[in-house]
Amino acid sequence: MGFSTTAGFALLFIAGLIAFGVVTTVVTSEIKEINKIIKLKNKEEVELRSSDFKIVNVTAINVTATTYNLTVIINNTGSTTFDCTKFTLLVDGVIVNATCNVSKLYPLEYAKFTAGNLDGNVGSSHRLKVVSDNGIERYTTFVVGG
Amino acid sequence: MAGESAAHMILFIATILIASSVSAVMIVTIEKMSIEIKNQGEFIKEVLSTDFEIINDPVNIPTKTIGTDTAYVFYIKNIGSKSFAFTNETITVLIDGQIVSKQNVITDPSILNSGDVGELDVIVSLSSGNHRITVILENGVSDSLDFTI
Repeated sequence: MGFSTTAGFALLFIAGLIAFGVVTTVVTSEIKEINKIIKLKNKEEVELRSSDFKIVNVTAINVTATTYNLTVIINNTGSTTFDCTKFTLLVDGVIVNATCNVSKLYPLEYAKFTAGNLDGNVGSSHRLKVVSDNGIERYTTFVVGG
Repeated sequence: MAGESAAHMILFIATILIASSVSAVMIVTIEKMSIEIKNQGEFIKEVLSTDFEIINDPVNIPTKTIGTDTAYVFYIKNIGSKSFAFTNETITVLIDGQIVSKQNVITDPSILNSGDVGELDVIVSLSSGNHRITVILENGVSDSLDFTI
């Protein structure tokens, strides 16, 4: 009787150890992964808070009676680098295909976005929205010049 | 004496069998739990790395004609670090709190990579005034935009 009980408890103890080992391994690895992502998220949050840009100048010059070319100068006033290829420009709410003269916009540097053949007469007023790669948004208005 | 030994033997075997059964049930349960924990961990990781924004100009929501219907065009920008599925099967669109049926939601492209902008066309009839759109991804990450028509 005594030996049977000991053997039974020994078996249960070993099974318990195995189970504990399995759970600990999985939980530890998941916590590590989640911790890594939370750290990354915090880093992104800090980057977002230290990111900023302003629209320095907007030039819209007509090329035909009803179309114009748009040039937007942006200044990175934050302390992080923007990916210019991921910027989005909306004129009157519609996305326009714009090209940038640089691929990365470093702090205190300027970037020039150009978009061609947009619809608008001389003297027409438009709204411009610029959205950065990390979601920072800036608005301005401009008038098409001759 | 021989009978006592046999009784001990039977008791021993019975104990071992019961302990083994309990251990097996325990290990299987724990294994299922660990799989669940792993799945939950994966889900949390996915939610944490997914983020998007509706980047429309709220006073200038463009429209387009699809067949005989007019659709409002919304732009969705992936500002997270992970790409996500962007189809009318995987996203839910609410306008002023009302679900828009998936037949009236058209998306392009079907996968939105980090930094990319997708187009969301919503066929809905809206009166002039203020409205609110909410887009919810399949993992529950959502964003809203107040706009005016």
